[in-house]
Amino acid sequence: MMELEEWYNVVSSCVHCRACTSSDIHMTGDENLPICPKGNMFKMESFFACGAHEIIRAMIEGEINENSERLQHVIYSCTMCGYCSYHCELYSPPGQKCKKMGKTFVDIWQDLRADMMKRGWGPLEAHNAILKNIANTDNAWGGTRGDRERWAKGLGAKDLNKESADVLYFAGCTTTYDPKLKAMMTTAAEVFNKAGVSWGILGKNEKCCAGPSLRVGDRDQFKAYAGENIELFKKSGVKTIVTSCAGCYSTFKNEYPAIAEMDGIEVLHVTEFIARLIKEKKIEFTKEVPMKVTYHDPCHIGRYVGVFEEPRTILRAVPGVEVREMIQNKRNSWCCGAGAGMRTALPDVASETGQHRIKQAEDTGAEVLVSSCPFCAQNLMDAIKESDSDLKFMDITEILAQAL
Amino acid sequence: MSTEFSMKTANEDAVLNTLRQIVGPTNATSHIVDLVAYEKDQNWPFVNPHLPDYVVKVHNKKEVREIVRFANRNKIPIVPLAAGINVRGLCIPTQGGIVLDMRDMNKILEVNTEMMTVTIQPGVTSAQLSAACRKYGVRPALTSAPDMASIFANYLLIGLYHSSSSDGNFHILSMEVVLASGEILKTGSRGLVGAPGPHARGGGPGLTELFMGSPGSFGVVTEMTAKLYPDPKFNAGVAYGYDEWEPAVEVSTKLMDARVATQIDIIDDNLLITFLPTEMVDRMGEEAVRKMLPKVVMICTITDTIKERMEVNKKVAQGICKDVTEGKNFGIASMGGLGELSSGGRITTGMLQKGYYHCFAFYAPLNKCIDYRDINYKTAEEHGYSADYDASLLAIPQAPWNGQLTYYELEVLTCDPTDPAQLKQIQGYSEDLVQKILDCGIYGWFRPYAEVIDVTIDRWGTTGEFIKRLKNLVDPNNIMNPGKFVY
Repeated sequence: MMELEEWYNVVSSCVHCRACTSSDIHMTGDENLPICPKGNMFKMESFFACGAHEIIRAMIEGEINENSERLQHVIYSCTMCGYCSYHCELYSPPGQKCKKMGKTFVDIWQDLRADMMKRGWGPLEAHNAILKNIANTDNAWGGTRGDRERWAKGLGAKDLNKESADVLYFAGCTTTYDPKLKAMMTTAAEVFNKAGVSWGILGKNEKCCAGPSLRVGDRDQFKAYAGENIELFKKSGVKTIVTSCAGCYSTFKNEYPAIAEMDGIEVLHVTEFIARLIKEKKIEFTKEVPMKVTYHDPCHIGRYVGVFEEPRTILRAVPGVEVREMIQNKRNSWCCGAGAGMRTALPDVASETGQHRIKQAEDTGAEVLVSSCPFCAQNLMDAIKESDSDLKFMDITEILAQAL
Repeated sequence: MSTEFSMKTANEDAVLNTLRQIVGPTNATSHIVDLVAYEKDQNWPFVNPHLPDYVVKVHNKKEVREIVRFANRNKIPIVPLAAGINVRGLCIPTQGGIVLDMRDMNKILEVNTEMMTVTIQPGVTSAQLSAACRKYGVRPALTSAPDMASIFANYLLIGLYHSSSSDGNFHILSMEVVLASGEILKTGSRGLVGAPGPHARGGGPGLTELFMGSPGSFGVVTEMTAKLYPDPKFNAGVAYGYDEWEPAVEVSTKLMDARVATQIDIIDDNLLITFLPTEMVDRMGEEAVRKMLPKVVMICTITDTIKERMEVNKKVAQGICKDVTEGKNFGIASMGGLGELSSGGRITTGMLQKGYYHCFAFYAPLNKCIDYRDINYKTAEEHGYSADYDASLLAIPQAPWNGQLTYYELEVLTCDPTDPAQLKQIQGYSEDLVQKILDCGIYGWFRPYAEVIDVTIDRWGTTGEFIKRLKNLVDPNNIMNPGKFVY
């Protein structure tokens, strides 16, 4: 976390080469494809990263000295997918400077939103509702604390508040409180049990990772929750935290180390963990699941952390599954549209972005669109409906559970 | 909060309303949040940032024409912007007015393999065109600019290409231009009713060149027909490194005399290191890489549609290189530029890896190469840069080879002008270098850079005066990108 002024040198070095607007043809089938959801939708330069750099420069220099709906629109219509940063770091000074600092543009956008909040210019009303929910109920959706553990009933999870286990399965707010996503957790549990994993949950004591707080600009809330969670993790005595939530995962992995020492607790996304179980021959998928699938890389495990191969490895470990790649995949993946408070505050932007992805998935000829993130799941399921598509959406562990 | 966000600003006026009537409500703005994206570019140490009053996104010729007529009636400056990449301040609205953002006019209107021509709109990018042409087995002249740059604007501003040593830098056959008056001028055979295509030169003086070499100072070009070239199926490279410059220049001269090269690049070590993969330089360490590099490298790219001819030319090139002593042969299988000649379109901003990149590019004979090298290295040293690390020279002999025509770039690669001391340093170096280059003698500047125009126009005499008169004739209200190229 940096103050906005500290980014002056980086944003001032933008040469407007427009690497942040379009893919490299050598990586995306000889076509320059759009890479920025909001830029692609709203077209004006201000909506691309190169425009945002100038907005930040102008805010630092005082040239932009008052809030406006336009400013909010430009700043909060970003899903923080990080594609711009990846492409810029290959070719241009701002991205390369960030890389040398161990940062990405996502860090800049987060610090920009924190600055907006500090100035009293943000966040949006819908974002404030998320922050209030977290403060009041420890989860972004305002669900009751007692419902945190309900999904795990009868699945053999240990209560880590009372007993010990090797692995903490961190369900996350969205997966827990959206009934449509319950299978993400239950099928992960089935895989763990089959592999003989010693695992447990924090139940009622599980709290929001506070990634959403950070993404909409509330650093104080983020720091408070991160500190409490780290203490809770240490107290539980686990060696490993596994989560199916890409947002929680990237928050633990990328953001928590700056708050406090994790005392060597390993953080893994469920796809990494299962890929390891397969490699260690602790689990085998034997049943045939004849299915043509295409995998959508969630930004928070893909570009944010670099987990691209593990999901594909485990899908290929299932007999009968044929994996087909979309034209934009791995680091070049098009965002689902849900991230950074978009689905809550700007549902039409989220929808259009998601529908763009559905078209890419359909073009592969796959029957099933697979992913491994609750936010992507929500948005892509809705986008399938809105696109009137025949595609089916499944979480990756749902497919694995069918093969057990 | 609704997802409908207002674009409304405190200073909305009748002009904005009219612009919105022409292009639609979301395509014209005067909001500071939108304007700041257009107020500066990489050359801001020399062209002060300046906000436009309006930004208008246009989608077709009709909209362009209406905007231009409206601007002319109201004496509002117009700055056309093709794809939006601009590294030399040419599209900074230094007198305010309307930035005409033409990025969405990005159609490839025709690829004609029989006539070997392509007709395009301003927003077509280099990568877009090369990919489209590849499907037909042909290629455009591929610019050395980033792949998202407008190839249209590169042709207009007479850019640098991967095949400049063989194809030269003039690739436009005809154009359609919206004049300040709103009239549409067609150059080349476009203007002749019944002509079999917009391809060839019309009778009388060529009007196409009047609109080239300046950033929309004479009109807004909305369409052009450009040359296509056969896609070379075979390519090879010959590269030699030298610790002295004389043999590099001698070899390049002989290769150009022999007409065997598609492209010749003479590159010093400071620049060459920026073209190497960053991960390789990081892994080995910059000093270790530098020790491996000779002081100057000559890279000769040979391409052809016929394998046998390519092999003959390669043998000729190798023979010339061997005849000149002191050189060390380099394998260049991995040199990126060679592949780009046919595949086209990687973003080539390697020179920006160290941050700001300041360059003067100009045309001059190859036989003065060492003089320019000395001037740049010495001037850099005088202004506190290191000739061993910071300053560099690139020379690319051009077709037509008459007059030993060569494109030169003199650069300083390591400078951060956000630091006030470094800003002053680069400005001092620049001012000094321009005078020294002019005193040494050149054919002309590559582009009408802000840093060079004032001092150059004095030396232009009647030529400069005549260009001003032409500008006044075509654009009497001086609305077309005023303050650039001609005043």
